[in-house]
Amino acid sequence: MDQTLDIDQILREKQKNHHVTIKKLDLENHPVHVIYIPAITDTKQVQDAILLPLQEWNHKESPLPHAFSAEPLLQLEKKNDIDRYLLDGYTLLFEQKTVYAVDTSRFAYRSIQEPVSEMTLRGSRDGFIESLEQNVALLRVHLRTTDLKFEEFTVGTRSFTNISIAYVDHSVNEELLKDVRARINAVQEDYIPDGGVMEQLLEKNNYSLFPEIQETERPTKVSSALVEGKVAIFVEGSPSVLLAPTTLNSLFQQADDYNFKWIPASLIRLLRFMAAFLSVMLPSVYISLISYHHGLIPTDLAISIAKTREGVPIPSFMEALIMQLTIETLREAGIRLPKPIGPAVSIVGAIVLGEAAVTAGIVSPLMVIVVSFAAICSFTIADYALSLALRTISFVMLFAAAFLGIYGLILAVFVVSIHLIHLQSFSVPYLEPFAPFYVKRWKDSLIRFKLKKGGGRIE
Amino acid sequence: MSDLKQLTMLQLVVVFISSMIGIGIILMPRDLAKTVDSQDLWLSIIFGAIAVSVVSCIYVALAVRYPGLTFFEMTTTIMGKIIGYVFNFLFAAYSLIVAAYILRVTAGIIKNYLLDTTPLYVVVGTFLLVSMYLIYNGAGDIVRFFQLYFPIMLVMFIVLCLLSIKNLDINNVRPILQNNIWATISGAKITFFSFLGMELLLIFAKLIKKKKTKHLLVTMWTSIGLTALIYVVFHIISIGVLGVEELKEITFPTIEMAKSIEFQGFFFERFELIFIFGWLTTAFTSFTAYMYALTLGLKNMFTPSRWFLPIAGALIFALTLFPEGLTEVFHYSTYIQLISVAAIVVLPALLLIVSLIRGNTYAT
Repeated sequence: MDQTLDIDQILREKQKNHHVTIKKLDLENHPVHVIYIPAITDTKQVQDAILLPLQEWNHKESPLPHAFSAEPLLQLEKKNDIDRYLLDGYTLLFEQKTVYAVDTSRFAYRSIQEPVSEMTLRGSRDGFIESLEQNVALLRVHLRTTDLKFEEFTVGTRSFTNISIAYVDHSVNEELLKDVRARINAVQEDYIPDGGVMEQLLEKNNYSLFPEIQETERPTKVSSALVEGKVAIFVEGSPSVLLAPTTLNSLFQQADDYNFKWIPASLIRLLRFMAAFLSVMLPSVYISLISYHHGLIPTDLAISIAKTREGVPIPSFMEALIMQLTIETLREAGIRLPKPIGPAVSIVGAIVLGEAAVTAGIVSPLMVIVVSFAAICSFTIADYALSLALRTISFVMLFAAAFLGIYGLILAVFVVSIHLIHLQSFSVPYLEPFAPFYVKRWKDSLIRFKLKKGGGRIE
Repeated sequence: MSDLKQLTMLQLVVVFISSMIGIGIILMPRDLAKTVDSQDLWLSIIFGAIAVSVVSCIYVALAVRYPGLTFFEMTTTIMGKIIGYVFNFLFAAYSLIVAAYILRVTAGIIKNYLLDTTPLYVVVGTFLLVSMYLIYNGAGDIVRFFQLYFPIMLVMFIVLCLLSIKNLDINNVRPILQNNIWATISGAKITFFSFLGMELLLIFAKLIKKKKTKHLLVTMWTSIGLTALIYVVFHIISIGVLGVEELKEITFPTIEMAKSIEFQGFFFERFELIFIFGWLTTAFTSFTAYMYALTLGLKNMFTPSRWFLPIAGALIFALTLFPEGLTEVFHYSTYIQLISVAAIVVLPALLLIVSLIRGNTYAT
């Protein structure tokens, strides 16, 4: 593309687009074109800060930038830049062969709200929104240090998406920063609609179920991650901020853990790990016990299980599979339904699928208990990407249990742990404080040890 | 492939203990009871441990003289190409046989206790595939896997020991040293083989950080000592719970011991499941260690090394399915012990002697 600016051609091009406003000011035979997109521009500001000063300006006395004292004026040199700044809500001034840009952007955004997907009991309730600038401002509220640094990137070949990475100097590892920069620069996509897409484009292990990058809408989560030395990636137009690197351990942590006293907080955290484990293993352990190893169940229990299974026409594996699939369907339906109809799903689920299926003798009541308890356990996993991974694995476990019983389950657990040991998120081992084994870092893993008083920061 | 550059001493201890404790903990009580035939049989373990500690000095000496080399590279450096090749072949064959033996016994126990109608090749094949997946990821991941499961395994064994205390009859263990001491010492020739795994120092040697003799000896002896401690505790409990006479009759006494635990009012009244999980982990780790040694050996001996992992898998698979039943497997165990002595005592000793005579060390 021709890099020299052909003003007339650009003007002709822009005139075809009805959403672009072009104002031609004839300032004593010295034409200046003012171009902006009204939809994303604060027109009052254009009036007050650009058009008014221009009227008073005399081109013979001073150069154009002198007319603007309040607004910083950028001089653009490339045609690409012209489009980009115009689309970012800037107002462009064409004066003969030079182009200036003034920031007058006013995009439509919602106001700051509490994030819906990450609930906490205590602590700040602000959540990120779709505006990059606002998100940075929110982060600045929680993290007031000059060490907080930002770097800007633009990705997308068809539609520009502004991306900004944030880190705290001296905490962050230089290698990590280099890696993040390289991965962002390597993105070659037409269009990045949201943070989740960016996340997948930055990940290395595309066949892994586990998220390599954590996503959050909470500024406090980002600020504490940055202090720990992580890098945050803000994507314009997305309320989810990406945190890298991520470990399995950090996906289980919640802001609430730090807001309560350490003993109950640690117990809750242990409970969360237990629940995650049960959500994956419980249905498969149950079916392997009743279809392969009756001998391992206590006699009384075995008898009552046998009684409840009386008249159930399908094998227990199929029964578990059907129930698991039903719960997944219910969950998916619950997410997609509009809020007023939401409760209807739970009623249908509870009455039709639980109560009636048991009465009709299609499933055994114990299976309903096992599968629904596993589902409740999986609700404790706050990170949705992790929860998806674990739910997928729980199906794999079902198959392993159906084919090889407890032995198959143990082997499947081995396979998952071998995968997790191998997995790395930005060169950090995914199972970080456990394998490799760093006892010092256990203080904030399965449990949350008491906060250090007197200036120490939580590692 | 991610690889650990260097191993710490703690990691090395974990690797050794995980490789040493394997099927020995299941099979040893019966063999020992047959040979020693007294309640002193746990003393034989200590004698065995002492013998192994002495042998381990050979490995330490070799590892210190040739830092950064595995056994397969040392042989050619010391003995020259042709004899080195023979040595490598013998060691690889030894690894193959031990791996197949571990796998066959493991599969036998799985079939016996968990899956009595599942075909053997399915049990063997799945185990082998999972292990191959771990080996494919590299030595670093193997070590991390051992590390991850080591505490879990330890906790399970401790739980099992604590639960067994209720069934323990102290009169089965007493009196000590009433018996012929020579019979007890001769039991060491059985217990010696339950410490197989320390020769893997020659394989993992290239990953070791501190190459001083003192550190390596301390590591070796710590791991042998801890393993001996676990064995001794287990044997005392086995004798206490089952008695020597019963130990001789039961094929898998340790599992029977776990089976005899009963706790009323708890969801699981039977605890062999916990034991089987803990033990399957150790069997998996020791099998993986040997299979890794085998693949490394194949990689060293043959030039097109891309297919070494599937080939190792196929070899083990074939050899595992070769014997008809477990009785036939136990029948071979005497030969396996002979081969083991040749591979882990004679070969390294020869290497060390020649190396000392020639006086060549690997330039660091």
